[in-house]
Amino acid sequence: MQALDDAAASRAQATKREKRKLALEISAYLSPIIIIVGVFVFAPLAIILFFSFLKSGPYGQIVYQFTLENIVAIWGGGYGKVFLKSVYLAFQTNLLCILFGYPIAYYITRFGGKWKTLWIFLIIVPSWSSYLIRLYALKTLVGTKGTINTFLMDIGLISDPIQILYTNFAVTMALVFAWLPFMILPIYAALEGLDPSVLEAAADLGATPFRRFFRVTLPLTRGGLLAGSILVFIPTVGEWLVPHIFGGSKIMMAGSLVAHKFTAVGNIPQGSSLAIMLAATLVLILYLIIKWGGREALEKAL
Amino acid sequence: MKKKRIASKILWVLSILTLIFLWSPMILVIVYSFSNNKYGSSWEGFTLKWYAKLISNDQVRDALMRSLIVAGVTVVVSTLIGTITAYGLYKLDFKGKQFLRTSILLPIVFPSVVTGSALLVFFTRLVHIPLGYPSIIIAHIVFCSPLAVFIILGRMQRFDWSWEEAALDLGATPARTFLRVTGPQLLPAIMASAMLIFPWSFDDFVITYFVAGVGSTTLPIYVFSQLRFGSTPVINTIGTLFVTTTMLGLFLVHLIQRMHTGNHTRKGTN
Amino acid sequence: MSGLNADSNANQSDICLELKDVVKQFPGVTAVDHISLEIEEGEIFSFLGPSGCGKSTLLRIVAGLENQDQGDVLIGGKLVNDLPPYKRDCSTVFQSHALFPHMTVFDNIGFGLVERKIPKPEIKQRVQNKINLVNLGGMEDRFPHQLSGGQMQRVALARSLVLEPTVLLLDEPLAALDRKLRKEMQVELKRIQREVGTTFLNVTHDQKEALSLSDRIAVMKKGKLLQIGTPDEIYETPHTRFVASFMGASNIFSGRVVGARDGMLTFKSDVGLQVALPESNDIPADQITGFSVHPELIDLSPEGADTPAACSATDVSLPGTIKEVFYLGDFSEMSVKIDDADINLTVYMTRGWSGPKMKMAEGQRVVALWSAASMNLLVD
Repeated sequence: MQALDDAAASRAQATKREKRKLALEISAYLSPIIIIVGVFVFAPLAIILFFSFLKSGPYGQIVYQFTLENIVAIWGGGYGKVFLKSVYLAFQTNLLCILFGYPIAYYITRFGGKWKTLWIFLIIVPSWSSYLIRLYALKTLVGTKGTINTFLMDIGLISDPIQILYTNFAVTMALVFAWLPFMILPIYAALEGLDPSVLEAAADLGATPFRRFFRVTLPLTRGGLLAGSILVFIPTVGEWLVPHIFGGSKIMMAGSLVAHKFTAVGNIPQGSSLAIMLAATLVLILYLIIKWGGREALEKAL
Repeated sequence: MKKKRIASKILWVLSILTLIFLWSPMILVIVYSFSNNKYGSSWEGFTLKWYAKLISNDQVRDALMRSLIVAGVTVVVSTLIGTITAYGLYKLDFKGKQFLRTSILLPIVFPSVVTGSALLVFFTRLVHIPLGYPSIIIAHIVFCSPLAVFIILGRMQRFDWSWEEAALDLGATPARTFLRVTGPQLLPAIMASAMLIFPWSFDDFVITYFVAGVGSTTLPIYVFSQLRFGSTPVINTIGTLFVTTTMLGLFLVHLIQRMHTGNHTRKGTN
Repeated sequence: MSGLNADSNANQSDICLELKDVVKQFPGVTAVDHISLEIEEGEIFSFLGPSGCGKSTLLRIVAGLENQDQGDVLIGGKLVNDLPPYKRDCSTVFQSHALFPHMTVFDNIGFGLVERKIPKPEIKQRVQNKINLVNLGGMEDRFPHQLSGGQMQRVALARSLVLEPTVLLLDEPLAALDRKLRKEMQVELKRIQREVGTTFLNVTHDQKEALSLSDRIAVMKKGKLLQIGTPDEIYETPHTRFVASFMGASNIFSGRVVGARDGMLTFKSDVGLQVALPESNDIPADQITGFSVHPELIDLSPEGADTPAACSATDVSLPGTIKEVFYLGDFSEMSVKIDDADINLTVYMTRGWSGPKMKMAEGQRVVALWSAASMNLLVD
C-alpha cells in the first residue's frame, strides 16, 4: 500500500513540476505578444466600448453619463444604412476579387513555368507598396484631368471628360484595385499545394476539364478563397481612404463615418460607438469565416 | 491538347490585363516623376529636377527621417517579438492557444480606421502616451509583430526539428542549441520578415495619421497633406521612392530564399 | 517474465545501462509497461518489435528526450532520471540522422566536443580519428546535402561516437537505407562497434538486422518485454507465439497436452493434429500452449518413397499435398496442405537439397517430416 501511495505521490509531483515548467515557458516566450495584444488591442477596444455608452456634450466632448443614445442612433439613423452599404460594397469587392483573381492565380500555377517567381513578384509588389500612393496614382489616372480622359480627348474619342470619380463605380474599382493582390496570393498558394495526381485521377475517371475544375480544384482550394476573403472583406468594410479619395463626400462608408466623427467632428462617444459596431460586426464575420476553415489556409499562404 | 492551348491563351490575356490594371497607375507615377511637366501629370521631356528638389525640401527630409526611424525601430522590435512568439506558439501547447492565435491575427486584419481610432483614444484618454514618436512606434509594433509571427511560424513548420534533439543529445544546453543550430536555421526567415515589415511600416498611412498627433509628420502623412493640391511632381517622386524600396526589399527576400534553398536542397525550405 | 538476464554473476561494473520498472503512458496507450533489464558493457543490444511496440519511446527515455512516468534509468551505475539529455552520458544516432545542414561534416562531428569546451587541436585530432574510423576520409568540408544517405548515417555515427559515451543509442538507423546499403552498413556497424568497444543499444523492426547485428535481443510487443536472449535463443527457441511468428517460424500449432506416453507428451492441436512432443525440464506440461517448427527444418519426401533411414520413432511425419510453390531463386517456399487437418505448412527447400529428388509442383503428394528436436515449445 505504501509503495503505491509513494508512486502516486511522486507522479503527482512530477506532473506539478511539468505544469510549472510549461507555465514558465509560456510566459517567457509569449509574454511580449500577450502584452501587446492585451494592452494595445483588447484594452483600447474595451475603452471605446466603454466610451460608446457615454453621452456627448454639445461640442462633442465626453460627458460621463451612461446612455444608450449612441447605439440607438446607429440603428435608427442613417448610420445603419451606411453600415449596410459598407458590407454590401465589401462583399461586392470580395466577389470581384475572386472573379478576377482566380484566373490569374490559376494561370500562374498551371502555365507560369519558369516565370512563376516573376509573376508572383509582380503581384506582391503592388500589395506591399504604399497604399496611399497607389490610390493617388489611380486617381491621377481616372480623374477629369487625368491621364485617361486627357488621352481620350486628345485622340478625339470624346469631347468632354468622363466623370469617373465620385461615383459608386469609382469606389468599387478602387477597392478592387487596392485589395486584388491579397486575394490572388492565397488562392495561388492553395493551387500550388494541390497534388496534380488528384486531377489526373479525376481525368482518368472521366471528368472533363470543366467538371474537374468545379468538382475537384475549386473545393480543394476553398481554404485559399477563405483566407483571401479574410484579407479582403474585413479591411474593406471599414475602409476610409478609398471612399474619401474616390467617393468624396458623396459616398460614405463605415470607415469614413468613424474617421469623420473622430477627427472632423471630434465627438468621441459617437465615434467610439460606430467603431465598436464596426469591430463587432467584423469579429463576427471573422469568426464565421474561420469556422469554415480559413485560418490554416491563411497561415499557409504566408 | 488544343483545348488546353486555347485555355492557356485566354488565361494569359486575362492575367496580362490584370497585371496592367494593377500596375499602370504606378508606372504612370514613376514615369511622370521624370517628366518636365509642372503638375506632374503628363510627359514633357526627361528631367531629374524633381528628385533634386526633393532632397533640398526640408519638410520632406524631416518626414523621411521620421519614417525611417519609426520603420527601423519597428523592424527590430517586431522581428524580435515575432521570433520568440513564433517559437512559443510552435513548441508549446496549452488551453487558449487557438484564441491567442486568432487574437494575434486581429491587428493586421482589422480596418486601419478601427485600430487607429481605438489606439488614439487609448493613448489620449487612458494611458497618456505622448502623441509623436512613442505613439507611432507603439502602433507600428502592434500591427507589424503579428506579421513577423506568422512569417516565421510558417517557415518553422517546414523545419525538421530533430536537429534540436540531436544538439541536446550531443551536450548543448537549450540556449546553446538555439545559438548554434536553431538560430542559424531561422535566420533567413527572420531576415525575410524584416524585409517585409520595413515597407509595411514605412508606407503606412491610416493608422499613423490617427496616432501621430500634431507636428509628427511621417512621409505618408506628408504625401496626404499634399494631395489636396492634386497631383504634383513631389508626390510622384516620393511615390517612386516608395515603390522602389518595396521592390528592393522583396527582391532581397527572394535572394535570401534562393541562397538558403541552395544550401539545403534536401529539405526544400521554399 | 521469463528470459531476463540469466547471468546473475555479472558484477556491478559490467552493467552499463539499467532500467528499473520503467513505465511511460500517453493518452490512451501505455507505451512502456513496467520494463526492467540490464545491459552489459560492450555488447550490442537490440530492441526488436513491430511499430508501436514502444521500443523507440524506451530509447528516447534512456536518452532523456522523454521522461518516464515511473521507474529509474541508470547509466554507468548513475541515476539519470532528472538529468536533461545534454547531461547524460549517452548519445543518439537518429533515424533521420538529423545532421546540421549549415555545418560541414567536420563541424557536425565536432559539435559535442565544442560544447564540452575541448581545445581546438584535440578536437581536430579526435574528429579526424573518427572520420577515418567510419571511412569518410576526404569529406571533412562537405555539407550534408552533398552526401549520400549512407554517408550521412556515418557522419551521424561519428558525431555520436566522438563523445565516447557509455551507451550509444541507435534509433532504427538503417531504416531509411535501401536493402543493399543496409547490408553494407550492418557490417560496418558491427566492425566499428568491435573496434571501439562502446555499448550499442539498437532499436529495429527488422528481424534479420537484429539477428545479424546483436549480441542479445529483447523482443517487445505493446510496451512489454516478451523475451530476452541471444539471437540463436530468440530464433530457435522462441517462448511465445508472438515471438515465434515475428521471427519467422510460420508453422505454429496451438493446442494442449492431453496425455503422456513413453517419455513423450501427447499434444492435441486445435486443427485436429495429434503429435508427440518431447518433455522439457524447464516447462511443465500443463503450461504448454503450442509448438512451432521453422520452415527450413521440415523435409518433404514424395509419397510412397522409402522412409529415410535416419527417421526415428519420435519424428513427426504427416502426409499432405503441395498447394503452392513460390520460386525465389536460392530457395523455394512451399505451402503444403496436411491431410485431415485444417492447416497449411510452410516449407523452405533450398536448391542444395540433397534428399530424394522429386518434382515440386502443385498437386504433388508428399510426406512432411521433421524431427522431435525441431519442435519448439510455446507457453504463449
